[in-house]
Amino acid sequence: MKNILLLFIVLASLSASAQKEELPSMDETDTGAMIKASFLYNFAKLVDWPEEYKKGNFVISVMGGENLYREMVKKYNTKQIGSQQIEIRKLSKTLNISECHLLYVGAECIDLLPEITEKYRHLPILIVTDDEGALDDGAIINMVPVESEWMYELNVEKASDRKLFIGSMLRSMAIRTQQGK
Amino acid sequence: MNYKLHIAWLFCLIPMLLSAQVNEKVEEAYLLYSKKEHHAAAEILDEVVASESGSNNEVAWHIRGFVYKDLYVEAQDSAEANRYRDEAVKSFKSSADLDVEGRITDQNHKALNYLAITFYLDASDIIDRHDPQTIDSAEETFFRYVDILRILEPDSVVQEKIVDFYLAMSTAHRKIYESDRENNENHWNRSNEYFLKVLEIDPESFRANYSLAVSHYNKETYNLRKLAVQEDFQDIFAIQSMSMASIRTALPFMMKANEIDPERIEAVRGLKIIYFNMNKEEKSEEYNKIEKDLKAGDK
Repeated sequence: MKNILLLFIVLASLSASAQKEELPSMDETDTGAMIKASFLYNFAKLVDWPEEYKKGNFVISVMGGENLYREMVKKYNTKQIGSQQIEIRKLSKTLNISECHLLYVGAECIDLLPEITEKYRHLPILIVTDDEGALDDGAIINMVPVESEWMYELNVEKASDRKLFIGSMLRSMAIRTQQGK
Repeated sequence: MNYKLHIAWLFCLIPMLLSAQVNEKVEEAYLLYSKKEHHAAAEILDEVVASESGSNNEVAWHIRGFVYKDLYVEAQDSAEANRYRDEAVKSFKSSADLDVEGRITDQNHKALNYLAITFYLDASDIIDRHDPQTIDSAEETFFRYVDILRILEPDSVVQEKIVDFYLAMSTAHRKIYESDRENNENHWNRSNEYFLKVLEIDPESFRANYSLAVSHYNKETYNLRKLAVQEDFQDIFAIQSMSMASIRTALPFMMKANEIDPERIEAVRGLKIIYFNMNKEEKSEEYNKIEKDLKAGDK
């Protein structure tokens, strides 16, 4: 009888522990930031910059978009574009942009976009955003969610104004290609 | 009543309950049993229950059950243990079936319960080992426990135990998968299968709904994390589509979990994260506010 009682106690405690077992924890990674980071890297690969910009580091500046910045640093900081070493720079919300090849302007800084594009209109900076209507404010590539998936639209004419050549692959995969404003 | 005292009591009843033909043999077996000569006692009782007059006698089966139960206890960890336990279960079940007047129902049930628990503990041990090679054997062992439990408990209790078992199996498979995601991918599927089995029995299980949502969601964030640097656009779009399909699969389970228990912060937080990663910022913010309110209410 003692054995049976003991087993009952064991059984009860096992059952209780099974029910109290912790729920699985959710991976809280910002998947959008992961996808957008891989987009930025591919944009960099598929756009051609003027010869004089093919020396030194390939600078990607990230204004806003903390999670995106982290993803870029984690995954692409040691990679190359052609023979250029990628350098990721984090920018605070500012109009003073140091020299870079690609500038990402996050939603929290998007109000500065018209001024930034105007101020640096002659420089071959690939300006990338993820805000509705940003192409009209000077972005060259704008990442947009379509049915919850990230796609992109681009403005070939504005790229050309900045002496940036957008490869055919990048054009063909865009959901929308805008000419001028 | 101590079961040995019970056996002694039965011994006094043997002349009344058994026919003269088997009486002598059962007495002999009992004496051997009391001297702990279990094998010899079992041999005689095997003969008794195989005979025409003994096969329908609940007392002969009952005593045989105790003999085999003790053999099982002695032989634990040996190859013979399971056979002894099976014989003990068969004996007590036969005794219970034949005992139409219910004279020894209580003792049969107690003995069966003891044996049932040994199956349960064996199944628990297998689950706790998280060994991909042996984990599946837990199910067969557990359902031996259930077979006995069905005699002893109402259906609702049995179903409750089955749900607990499926949840435990699901967690074990998940842990096996998480220990080596590349090589144990099939355990991710098995884990989900067990959660779905829980939902077949209890669609209102918070834990199964929530865990299924997390399982699908985490799987795809893991796949996205593996996005190789060299991946080109076509691949990125394909991986993104697959990922989003899984997140969409996760959503209704998380919504159901939230509906079952709107106060559980885990599901509210889960919805916040899922909507955020589906680029539905307004919905995500809505759940963010609910999460904050729930947290504030806890203080």
